[in-house]
Amino acid sequence: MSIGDATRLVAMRELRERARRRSTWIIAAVLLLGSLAAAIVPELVHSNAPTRYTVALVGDPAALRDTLVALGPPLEATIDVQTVADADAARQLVTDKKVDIGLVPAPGPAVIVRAGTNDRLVGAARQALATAALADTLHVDTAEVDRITAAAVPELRKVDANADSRRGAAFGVSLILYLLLLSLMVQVSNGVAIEKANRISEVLLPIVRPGALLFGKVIGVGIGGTFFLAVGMLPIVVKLAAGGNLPDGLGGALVGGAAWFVLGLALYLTVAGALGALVERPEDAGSSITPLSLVLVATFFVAQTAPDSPVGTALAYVPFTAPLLVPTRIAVGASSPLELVLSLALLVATVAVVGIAAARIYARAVVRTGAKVRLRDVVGAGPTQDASASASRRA
Amino acid sequence: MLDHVDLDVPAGRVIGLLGPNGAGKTTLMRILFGVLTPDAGTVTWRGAPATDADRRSWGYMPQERGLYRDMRVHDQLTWIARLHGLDKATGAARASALLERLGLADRGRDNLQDLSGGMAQRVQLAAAMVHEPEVLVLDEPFSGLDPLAVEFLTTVITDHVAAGRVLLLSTHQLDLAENLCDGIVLLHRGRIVLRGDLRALKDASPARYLRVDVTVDPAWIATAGASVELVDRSGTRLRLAVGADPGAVLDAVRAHVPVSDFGVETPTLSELFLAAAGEPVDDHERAAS
Repeated sequence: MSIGDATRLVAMRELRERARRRSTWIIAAVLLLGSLAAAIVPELVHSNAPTRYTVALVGDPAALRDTLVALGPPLEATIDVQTVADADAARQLVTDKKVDIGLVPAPGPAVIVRAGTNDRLVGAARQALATAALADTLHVDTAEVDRITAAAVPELRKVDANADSRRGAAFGVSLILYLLLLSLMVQVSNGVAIEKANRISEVLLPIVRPGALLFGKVIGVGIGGTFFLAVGMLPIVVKLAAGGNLPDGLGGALVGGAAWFVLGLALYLTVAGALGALVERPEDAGSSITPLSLVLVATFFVAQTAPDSPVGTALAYVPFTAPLLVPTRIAVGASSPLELVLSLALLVATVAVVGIAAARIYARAVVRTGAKVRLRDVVGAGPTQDASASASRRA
Repeated sequence: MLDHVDLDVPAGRVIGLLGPNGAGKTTLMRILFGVLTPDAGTVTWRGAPATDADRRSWGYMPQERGLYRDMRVHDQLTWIARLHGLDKATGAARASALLERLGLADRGRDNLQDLSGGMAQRVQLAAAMVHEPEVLVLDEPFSGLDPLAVEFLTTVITDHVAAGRVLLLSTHQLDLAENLCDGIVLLHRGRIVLRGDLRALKDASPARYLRVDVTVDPAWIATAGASVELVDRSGTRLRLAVGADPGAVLDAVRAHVPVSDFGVETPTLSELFLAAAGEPVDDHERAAS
């Protein structure tokens, strides 16, 4: 049996056993419900509760009344106009929050508003009042004024129009990667520790090469975790695909960041497996990956707060921080092609080196039972020394 | 730690690797399977150094049982068979046949953790045999087994060697080994102190024992001047001095109490071990004798 076949069998076992576990489906169901809610609730809230403004209008100038009602659709709202006798009455209604704003066309057109509220409505109403006053002065109708002023409206050129949307996408991407890496790391180290404590490794090692055992577990847990995450996120993905309403940068981050995502999983999970092989009791598996978790938390912090800062730029090249940072930087549009190529090359090389080292540590540590294995006991020591040390321990 | 241990396991015979706890039996087996690498020495199989592929074709039941507790029994055996290179259908068929033979046919869909200790032990044996190995190595297979299970395991072991295959087992329970093993290797503190065909070893030993059906008091046997070195705790088994005449000792006993049944016996395996453990023998000398 080749190492590839053995790795595949080990990975398949991980996937099958994971699918058998009830907790797996409960977590997937919770994710599914959560993302279903995230996809549907905004739609329900939006359609059930359209915005409704009430405007108190002093006097009853019919033209202005029509203009006000017509302001509704552009504001995605319905506007009700309530006629009042004078400015004082309008002011009272605004103060009592019976209406949103009061409009006094004359003398000296005025808008009565509670400070700090209904900015968009106020803006639109002021525009309408100004247009009406201008039409009145020029003795033309308001449509004519609109025609003239529209020609003079300056074009609005927005710089980085989608910054907020990009930040949102970056936040989502780094959060998902962070949570997935953290939970799968625990699963791998815990799984390895259980196999060691229950002496399953001892049965399997004569049959399967240590590398196949470690990498099979990493692949199985990685694919399984990603699959269930994808299932859980399906409603959001469907909505995004169907609505075409992707937050800016999200698509790029997911597609462009896929390589870092996969390699990051490989890197972190492989190290987590080697660390899990060091512990004596499965209860200690969680604490064995503390160094990895700390790196991950720090990286997540940078990815959330300052992915485009100099620190973020520097960390994009560091193999252990790149998997979380690079997709985030792609989302906010901070990465350059050169950075991507260099970062990926460094990451690939690190995954290869770390993979070999981790398999070696795993092979030596997983058969050493009786006490927690210190890392320096299994790093660098030749297999010969290792075997005799272990043999004397057992004898 | 093992020191110049040299072991030959021929086919068709039950070979027992014996010795007290800590003698190095498990270490030796782990080296056979490449789990540990020795400082020096080789493992050869059919005249050539054993390869990883050779090792994977063998079957190993470690002393500390190890299988996935939360995995179904049949799934687990099938999976291990596939790791040995069998295809899925063959592996599943082998797993079913073995479970049937081990009396676990109706437990295949249960998780291992739902089985009793004895049943789990049988599953562990099945895991070592699911690929029908030419070589079967069992580390302390009898520990924790009830007499029925011991009897059953004995049958499995004798069937295996009857088919002309290789079997090595380790145990510290010398009485069990005495009934089962054709050849023995006694390990003590990492060194071989005795080895060979069990019957020949017993016959070759100068020690002889007189068994009587009465209780002998060590005090009066000493005053009688009989050539007895030791009376065992039950008082019915007397170790004779080398070269002593059993008849004379029997007469000395008869002078005190009437004896209706007696016999002259070779040493038991435990007695051989105790005699040998005191003075480690040179491998080559012993092998030549």
